[in-house]
Amino acid sequence: MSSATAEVIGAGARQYVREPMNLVLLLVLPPLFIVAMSSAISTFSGVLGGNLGERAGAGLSGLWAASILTGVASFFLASASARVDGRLVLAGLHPTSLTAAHVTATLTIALVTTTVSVGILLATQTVGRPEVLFAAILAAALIYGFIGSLLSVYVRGDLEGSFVIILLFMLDAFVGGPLAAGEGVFAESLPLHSPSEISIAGMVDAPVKDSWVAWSGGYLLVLAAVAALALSRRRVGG
Amino acid sequence: MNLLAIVLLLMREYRRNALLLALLVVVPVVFITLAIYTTEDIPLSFTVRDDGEQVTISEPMPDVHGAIMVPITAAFLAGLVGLFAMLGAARSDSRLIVAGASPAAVTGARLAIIVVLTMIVTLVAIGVALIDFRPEVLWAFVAANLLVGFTYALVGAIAAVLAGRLGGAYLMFILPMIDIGIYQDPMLVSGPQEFWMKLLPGFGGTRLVLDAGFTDGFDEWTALAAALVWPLLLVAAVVYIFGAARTRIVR
Repeated sequence: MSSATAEVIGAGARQYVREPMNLVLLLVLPPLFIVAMSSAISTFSGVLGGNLGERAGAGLSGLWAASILTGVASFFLASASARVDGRLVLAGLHPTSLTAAHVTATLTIALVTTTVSVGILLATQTVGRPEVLFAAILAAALIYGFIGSLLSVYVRGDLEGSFVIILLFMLDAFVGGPLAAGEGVFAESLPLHSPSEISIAGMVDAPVKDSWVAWSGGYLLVLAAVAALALSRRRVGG
Repeated sequence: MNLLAIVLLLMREYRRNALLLALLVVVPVVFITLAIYTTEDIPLSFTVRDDGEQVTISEPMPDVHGAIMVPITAAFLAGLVGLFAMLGAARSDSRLIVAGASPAAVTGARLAIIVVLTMIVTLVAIGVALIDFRPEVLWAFVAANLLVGFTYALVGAIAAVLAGRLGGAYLMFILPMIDIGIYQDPMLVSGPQEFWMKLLPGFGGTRLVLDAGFTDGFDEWTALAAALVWPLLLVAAVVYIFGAARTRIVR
């Protein structure tokens, strides 16, 4: 990591921590969400034709909390810094350094939300394979983080970006995921489908299909590459 | 510059934004249509107040889900509208005051923008639900959903002040889902609600939605009181916050 990238990351972290409410909410909301959602998801799954138990529902709620919070954070942080990033590039900073800083910020937020979510799940549920659960939730959080970064390049305006994130999340959660026993090409190709299946397998100690791992990894790599490319081009256009 | 002129000026910003206008329509359509068509068509029993008594009624689950998705959608979208309208106010309203607009007119205009956008998202959501679901008392169903929308728009405005842009967004993505999506939802909370659930902002309006949706009389007086108290308190808070900010700018 270049010193310029480290400096930009440090500045971003200082800016985030300067608003302690952001940090507090990032730590408080996932537990609230998971506790509220755990049993509700199990009941709601029946409404939508699925058959999730409470442990599976809890795993899914942890994955949702980490995904949505990381996606929102990445979108808002990347869109807020667009103008400043342009000036930094004009001042001589290489676009790659800025892109690396944004990717690192997304990774950091995803790690925080995943750790909080998994921590709450370990404290409140019996988790079959914590390492599988952690990997699945981290993958989902990163996928939404990179979606948030990508949206920040192409969607101008906080309200519009928020609407797009919530629209995608609702499709993902209620159509594509195990909540409604989503099947078929459309459901299975939504971003959270495979990580959700892996998280449930991690919760209840069930086998993980290779196709879920392939889809999750593929989504993650493609979105990371596309988001990084879009962010670096935005800097050049500054 | 009077209130109407400022409202028209601020609305111009939204009218020019084709993506936002499309999303204001597309999001409710997708949310509610999906909810109705993905729900198992089996009966659901839940309690409502009818003729002054708590009674258990049984309704098709897609109808219940369609009805409850309207306040959920309204709360989500109106909350975000309130949040970002308030954040936009922080950037632009001081310039309007410096340009000669009165602080009261600017505050009124900002609240009017929140009301107009909330009405749009809520009425679109109601319109989509009405394709598949006929509430027992339509006007009360509309009014109840508007109350939920206004309440959450004001919660969003307060969240903007208390938590800022990112923290406010965190809150407005999670709060409506927990409040209306779980604790006020008869599909998830069967039987009487716990007392603390009745203290949440979505309680009153959502009970009114269920009453208007599935009974032909009006019995939810406690819910009506709760549904009115929340927005009144929140309006007072928003006016106070705006007023304090404007006073600082004028000084």
